[in-house]
Amino acid sequence: MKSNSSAKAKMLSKKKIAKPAASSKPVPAKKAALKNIFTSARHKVSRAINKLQSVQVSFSSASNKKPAAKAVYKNTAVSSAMKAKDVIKKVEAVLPAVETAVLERPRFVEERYNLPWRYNDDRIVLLPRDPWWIFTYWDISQKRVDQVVATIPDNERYGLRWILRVYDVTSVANFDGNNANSHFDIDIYFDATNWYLNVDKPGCSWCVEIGFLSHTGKFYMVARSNIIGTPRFGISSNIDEEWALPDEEYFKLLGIYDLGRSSMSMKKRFEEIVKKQISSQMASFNISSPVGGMKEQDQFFLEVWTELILHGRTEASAHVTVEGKKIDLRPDGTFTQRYALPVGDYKYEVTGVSKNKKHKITKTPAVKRFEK
Amino acid sequence: MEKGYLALVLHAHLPFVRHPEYDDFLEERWFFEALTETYIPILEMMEGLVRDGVDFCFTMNLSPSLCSMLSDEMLQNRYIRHLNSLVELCEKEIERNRFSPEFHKLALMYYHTFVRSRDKFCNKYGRNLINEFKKYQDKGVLEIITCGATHGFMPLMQVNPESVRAQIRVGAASYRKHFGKTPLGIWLPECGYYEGIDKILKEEGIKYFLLETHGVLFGEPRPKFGVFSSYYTKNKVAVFGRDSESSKSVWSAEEGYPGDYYYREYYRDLGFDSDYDYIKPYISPDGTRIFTGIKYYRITGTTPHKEPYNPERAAHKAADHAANFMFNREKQVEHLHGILGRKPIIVSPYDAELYGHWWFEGVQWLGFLMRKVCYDQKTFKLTTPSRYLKIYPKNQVIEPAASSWGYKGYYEVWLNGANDWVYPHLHRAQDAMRDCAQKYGGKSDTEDRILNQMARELLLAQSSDWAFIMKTGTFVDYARKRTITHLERFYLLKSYLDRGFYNFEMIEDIEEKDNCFPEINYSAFRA
Repeated sequence: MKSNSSAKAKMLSKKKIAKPAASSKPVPAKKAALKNIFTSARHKVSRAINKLQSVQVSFSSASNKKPAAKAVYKNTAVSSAMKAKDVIKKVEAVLPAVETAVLERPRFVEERYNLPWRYNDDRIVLLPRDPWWIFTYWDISQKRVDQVVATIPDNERYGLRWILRVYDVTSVANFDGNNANSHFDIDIYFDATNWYLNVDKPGCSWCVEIGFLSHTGKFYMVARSNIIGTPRFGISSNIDEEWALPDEEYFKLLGIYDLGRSSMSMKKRFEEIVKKQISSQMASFNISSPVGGMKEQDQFFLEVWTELILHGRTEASAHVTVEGKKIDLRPDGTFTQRYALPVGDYKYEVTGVSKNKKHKITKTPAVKRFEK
Repeated sequence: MEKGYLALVLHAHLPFVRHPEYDDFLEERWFFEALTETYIPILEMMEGLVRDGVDFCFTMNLSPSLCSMLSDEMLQNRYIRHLNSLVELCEKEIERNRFSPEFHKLALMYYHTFVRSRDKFCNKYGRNLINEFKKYQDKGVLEIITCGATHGFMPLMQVNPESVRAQIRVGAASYRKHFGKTPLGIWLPECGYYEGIDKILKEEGIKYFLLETHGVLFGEPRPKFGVFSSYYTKNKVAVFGRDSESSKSVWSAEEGYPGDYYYREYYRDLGFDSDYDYIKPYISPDGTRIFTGIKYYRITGTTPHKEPYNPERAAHKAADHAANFMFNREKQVEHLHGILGRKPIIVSPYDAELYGHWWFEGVQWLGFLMRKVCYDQKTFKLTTPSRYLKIYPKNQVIEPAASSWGYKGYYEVWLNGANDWVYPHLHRAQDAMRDCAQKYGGKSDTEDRILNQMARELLLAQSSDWAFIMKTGTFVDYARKRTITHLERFYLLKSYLDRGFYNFEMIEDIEEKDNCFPEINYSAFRA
């Protein structure tokens, strides 16, 4: 239950650009998640008011763009009974939320386990998800944050925003932070600890840095990620001379015969087909989750079956048959048989023969089962 | 003379599920069901084909974690216990259905299946199916390939190349132990590929691997023959791409053969239909109803009403579908042969457990198909990737595109809101494993022993199955628990190394629970 609601909080914190699936969440869920955030925020605010003041500062500028962050800001401001303006005046160094997390962190790892849920190793890691999206997670210690903040001139220390700077480093040898092809920034909620980034460029190389953006537009890097590539998408136009095949022939191979079109548009069309194909098929499978997932009964149903219980008693040593087939007796001479009873006429000829074969009794109950 | 080839590839894998600490463990049934419904029927199919002198061949991956289970004595004994219980249930079912001929016949069918499986498992196969599969490889009709040790999804491991290498190296070592030679090919878990894996494959002596269609098709430069030929990567490892047309006819839930109305319905099971008190001894120990594997109905249609299953009718359908599949491949091969100027290969990989377990008649279909291909046509022949490479040793060099065969074609199935929390933990543990191997390796037998067990724990945590299950939504708690438990055991063992203090009772306990890959060598994780 606990991890469930905090998972929602996590989803929420990633807002629209983070997760296309998450953005379609119904409103009540969002409200519930927010409520949760507020409650936990209030608890922590009362415990660590001083530190939180600075947290608010870091939110104050980010809040323009992030509804979730804004809501948190407002609420904590109310509970600490301070105006953001005053806070800014008082704050000397920005101490963004790390230990004093306002949001409850997603706790997939429950407390009864001994697995660390924070590593404080100042790392940001980048992983590809598909040709258009990459995923990053970070774990930055308070020490590292303090260290970077100490390098920021006093007049730039207010209004700092946590951002991810995403660099396109395709074909860049020895990326040093300054020689990328291009970059863009994304405002983040620091405590989310991870983010899905829509880069929309297949076949390129990427690096991200997490850090502060000051009100003057200066970037202070806190950690830099590994470099990864987004998968290529599309048929290559690069053709080996030794292995060349004319375009018309090539597209025939792929099942496209529309020779009236240019090879460029054939290529495009083919890519659309492939895209549709790979997003509809479900090749990988798991024995616990059959193809297409568990089938839910989508139509109302009612099943009714009938069974007949035939039970009786005789001498424990007797030989008993039902319709000619021997059945087993319990040590006390009783027996119970259950038979499926479909619609129809049935008779059950039960014959008991004594051990010495001198006595034989036959009884034949009969039933008629029908649907009214 | 044939104009092309069909390479059928079956990927048999189950995550390592073995719980000696419990007397009866629900998830162990995945393995038991796969044995009865898929692995033993495939062996029986090959037995029949060899007996009848059919010229056939195909490729099969037996994943290292599956091999660990197949050769485990405790699981073998539990499988026999499982079958005994099913035989007992069938005996009751035969009696109960005495006056309902349609069901009586089916109860007998299941009874004979379970009794025969038990007999073969105990007497013919000596409880270990690996040796039996090996026999067919030695006969030259089956090409067995390996897989990542625990089916770890490598593209999401790429920040730790040592871990990728360890998955491959431990997988290859397990193969050598079970099959007595170096594997020619590998099934990359989930066909997960990123640029650079081929170099590691090369170093481990692997000759070929298989990819999803667009992994090859989007190769650089443009692959001349589409997915209908072999290629080399720049590290000279051969690569084959999946043919989507032939795959779809089996895979697709809507258009695929398995959805035919005469085939057996998977979801109607005695475990759910039966009177509770009657079925109680045969379902989950906690009293939850589960699938027993005894299923009496055919798919019938889209309505909830189901008709009784008729095995003869279904067998005819399977034969029809095999004929249809063959006919389509003939047309495909003829068409491709005309364009390519070389004999095409059509690579059709499937999850093995789809056959028999999910598609009940699937193994029968496979047998019919191989017989028909041998006797009823001359357009194409069956082949394996390594045989094809002997015919065409010279191939275009391409850099395949990063991809997987999962939903949407990339990594999203294993990287989304339901399972992305595992990667920060896995990556740290992967780093720690590499560092510990470097720091403590070779110091003493005790340290090596602990490092070996740490390697097992990390590999088990890396199974892509856990992330997959978290995403698909059934057995989620179990998958989470498994990921966390193995990492916990990993860190506990690491703490022994760091402190120079060893709790041998604990070490033994962990070794006994996670006893996969007895031949493991932690040095696979060294930088």
